[in-house]
Amino acid sequence: MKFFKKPFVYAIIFSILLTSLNVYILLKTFVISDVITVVETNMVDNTKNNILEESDEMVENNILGESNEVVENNNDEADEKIIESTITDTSYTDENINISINTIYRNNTYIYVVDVQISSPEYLKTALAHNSFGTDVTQTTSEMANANNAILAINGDYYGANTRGYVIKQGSLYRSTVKSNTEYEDLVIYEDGSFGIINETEISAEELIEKGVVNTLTFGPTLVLDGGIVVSENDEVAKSQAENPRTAIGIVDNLHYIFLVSDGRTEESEGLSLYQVAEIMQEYGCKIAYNLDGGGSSTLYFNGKVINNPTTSGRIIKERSVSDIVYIGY
Amino acid sequence: MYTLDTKSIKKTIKVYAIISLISIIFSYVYEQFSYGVYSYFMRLLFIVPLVGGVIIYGVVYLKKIKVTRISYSLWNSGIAILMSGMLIRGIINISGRYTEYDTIYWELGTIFVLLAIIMQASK
Repeated sequence: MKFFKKPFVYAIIFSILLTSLNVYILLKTFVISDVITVVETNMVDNTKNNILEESDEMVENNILGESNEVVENNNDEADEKIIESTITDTSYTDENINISINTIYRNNTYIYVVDVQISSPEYLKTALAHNSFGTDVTQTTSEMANANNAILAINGDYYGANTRGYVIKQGSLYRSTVKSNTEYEDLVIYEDGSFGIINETEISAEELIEKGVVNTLTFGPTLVLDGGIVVSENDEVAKSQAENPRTAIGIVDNLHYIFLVSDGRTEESEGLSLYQVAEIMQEYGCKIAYNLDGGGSSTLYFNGKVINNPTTSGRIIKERSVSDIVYIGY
Repeated sequence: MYTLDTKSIKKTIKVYAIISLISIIFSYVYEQFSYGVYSYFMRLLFIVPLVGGVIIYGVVYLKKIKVTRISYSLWNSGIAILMSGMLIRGIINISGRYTEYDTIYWELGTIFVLLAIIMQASK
């Protein structure tokens, strides 16, 4: 009790302890990476290297409309298959993958709409930063895309910014706790490449795996459902401002997808509201469209290059490091 | 038992009023740099020193309640912990994150405040 009678001693010790706690919590939230699981990679390294080298060459030489060859190697197949591809600045075509990037200017914003058609759901993939699951394990979209030999990639849901919420990536269940804010639903990708919208309070992560879900994207909100816009003009992500850089993904038909990334927060591009994104996704024929992590995270990578102008402040064009990507590749 | 005089209580009220004002200014400035994202925890940060400091000590002052040094220290600590919780939660939410790391502030803050009340009641 004498301790309390020396107010300054108590105040100094208490202040040091409280400041230490604050610093620890902030470091734990924003700085300290906590790797929980490292993803097992089944890819054959040689195959990856082959594709990467081809891809690098294409970028370096700026080959337009020329035919190239990439090597496909399915995990279980010993034989390699040569795939011819045609690549331009805005398109990629081979026998399995068709990608076409359309840049439009609307609502004072540059918007990159990517039409993707694939022959098999296995080409629509997700990847984690540093191939590791954890909190605050981050890498830029382009680094992850490069590491996974992605042809096309967008930033994902930044699952690592939260300590709760389902995380299923490439068929592996990493986190099964229901997220803190269940206001928004999750986008699930089934093994046949189809999309679904679920609420974490209504189905467990284990049940999702049983139902054939191979990827979850936990951001939101849902923009388009059954072909109709399901956000209002006033809806916004987590008390955010109306216009922002955006990333969205949608499905048009079987194995036919739309990826959208918009610029924002700059003089050239104001950014889009959720409703404006939903309108575009609907125009492009999406039956389901879902909003992914936006703002400074919004990044579109194609063929070795970042296509959009990612920015957090609007002053510096720079990619933000994120937890995960959605990509198209072998 | 050592108790605080009215002069100290009056000074405490002034300090809490200044802290409340600084909290309002800090929240406002922080929001200007958060790209329009806001958090109620940040916006309502000033409520903690206003209610826990200005109003409570105002009542103590007006009612001439004798506050023990232990209760005074514990109460102020509780308010500081709760304020830190509001601030940290606000910063985390504005960054677009949801964590449970802030839980410790609510628990610790409540414990300190309750201890202060118990010590005051048992004087």
